[in-house]
Amino acid sequence: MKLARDTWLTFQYEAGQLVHSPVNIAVSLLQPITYLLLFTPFLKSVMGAPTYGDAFRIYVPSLFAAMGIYSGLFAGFALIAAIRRGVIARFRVTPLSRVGLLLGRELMFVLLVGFQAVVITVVALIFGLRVPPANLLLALVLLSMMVLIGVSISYVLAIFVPSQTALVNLTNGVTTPLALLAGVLIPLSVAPLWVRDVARWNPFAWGANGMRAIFQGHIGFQVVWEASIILAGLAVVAVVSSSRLFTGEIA
Amino acid sequence: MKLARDTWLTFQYEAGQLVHSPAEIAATLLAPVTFLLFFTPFLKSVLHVPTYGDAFRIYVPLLFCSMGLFGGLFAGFALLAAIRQGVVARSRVTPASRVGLLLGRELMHVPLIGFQAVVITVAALIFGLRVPPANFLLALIVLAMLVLLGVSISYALAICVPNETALAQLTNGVAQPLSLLAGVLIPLSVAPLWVRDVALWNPFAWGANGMRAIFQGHIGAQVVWEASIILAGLAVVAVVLSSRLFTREIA
Repeated sequence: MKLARDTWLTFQYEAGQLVHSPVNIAVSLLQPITYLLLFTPFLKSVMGAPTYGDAFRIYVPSLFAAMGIYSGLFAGFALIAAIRRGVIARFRVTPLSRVGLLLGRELMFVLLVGFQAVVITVVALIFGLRVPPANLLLALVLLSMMVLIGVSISYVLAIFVPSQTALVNLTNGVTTPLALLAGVLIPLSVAPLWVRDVARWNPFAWGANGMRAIFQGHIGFQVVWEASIILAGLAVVAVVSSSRLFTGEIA
Repeated sequence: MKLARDTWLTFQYEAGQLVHSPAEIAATLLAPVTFLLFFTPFLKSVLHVPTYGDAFRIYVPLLFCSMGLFGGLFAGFALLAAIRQGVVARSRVTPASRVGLLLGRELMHVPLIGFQAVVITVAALIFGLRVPPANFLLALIVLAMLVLLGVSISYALAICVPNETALAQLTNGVAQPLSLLAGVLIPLSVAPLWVRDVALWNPFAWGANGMRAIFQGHIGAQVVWEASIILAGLAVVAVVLSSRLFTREIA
C-alpha cells in the first residue's frame, strides 16, 4: 500500500515535470510522425498493400515498437541526469520508499510513450488507418510492457556504466540491432528464415509481431497471447531486478 | 594559391585532431555496420533479389547516401563547438585566409565519411558484394559532393542558428525527411509515383539514385551524369554561400 502510494507520488511529480515541457514532447514526436508520413508509402509499395489503411495497419504497430524500444532504452540518461543534479539524493531524505521512487519514474515513461502512440494513431487515422478502439487499447498494453522492459534494462545499464559517452555507445550498440531485429522498419513476417529464428530471442520482436496481429484484427491469435505472456513475465523480472539494483547501489 | 595553402593547412590540422580520436571514429561506424548486417536481409526479401550480393549492390549506395547526409548535416555542431572553444578566434589572429579556414574544415568531413564508406564496403565485400574498383571510386566522388553539400548547408544553419538545442531540432527536422525522401531505406525506384515526383527536388535523392546505378554497373546511365552535374553545381553554390556567410558573420 505504501509502495503504491509512493510510486503514485513519484509518478505525479515526474509527470508534472513532463507536462511543463510541452516543447520537448512535441520534439519527441517529430521523428515518428516523419517516418509515419514518409516511410509508409515505401512500405505500401514493397509489401503490396492495396490501400494506405492496410499499410498503416502494418507500419503503425512497428512504429509503436520503435518508440517503445528507443524511449525505453534511452531512459537511463534521465536517471543519470537526476542523480547528478541531486534529485534522487533529495528524495532519499524523505520517507519515500526507494522502490516507489524507481517505479514512479518508470511508469512516467509508460505514460509518455503511450501519449506519443496515441498522437501517431490519430495522425494515421486522418490518413486512412482504421482500427477498433479495443484493439488499440490492447496494443497499448503490450507497448507499456515493452517500455517497462526497456526502461528497466536502461536503468541497469546506467547504474553499471555511469559514464555518459560509454553509455551512449553501449545503448546505441544494443538498441539498433534490437530494433532492426524486431522488424521495426520492414516486418519480420517477410524476413529471411534465419532472421526470424534469431528474432525469437528478441522480446521486442514478440511485441512488434503481437501488436501487428492486434492491428490487423487478429486479437485471438497465438502470437498475441504468447507475446503478452513473454512480455509480462520479462517486464516483472526486469522491474524487480532494476529495483533491487537501484536500492542496492543508489538509494 | 594562398587560399589553397590555407585550406590545406586547416585541413591538416583538423584531420590531425580526428586521427587522435580513433574511438570516436569507431563509434560513428556502429550504426552503419549494424544496418548493413541487419537491414540488408529484410531488403533482400522484400525486393525479391536472388543473392546477398544483389541486395548489397542496392543497399550499400543507400547507406553511403545516409552517411553522407547525416554526417554532413550534423557537421555544424562541430563548427559551433570550435567557435565556443575559441579555436576559430585563435585561427583568425593568424594570416590564414578566412575562406581557407572554412574550406579546410569542410573538406575534413570528406575523407572522414570516405573512410567510413570504405569500411562499410569492405564489410559488405566479406558478405558477398562485388563491385569494380572504378565504379566504387566514382561512387565515392558522388558521395564527396553530397558531403560537401550537406556540410555547407549545416554550417550555414549553424551560423544563422547558433543555439545547440534549436539547431538539433532544426537539423533533425530537415535531415529525416530528406533522408527518407532520398530512399535511404527502401530505394526510390519502388516508391509510389508521388514520392518519386517529390524526390526530384531532393539533391540527396539524385545522389542515392546515381550511386545505386553506379553500383549496379550502369556507369553510363543518364541518372549518373545528371546526378553528378546537379550535385557538383549545388556543392559549388553551397560552399561559396557558406564561405561568404562565414567571412561576414564569424571571421
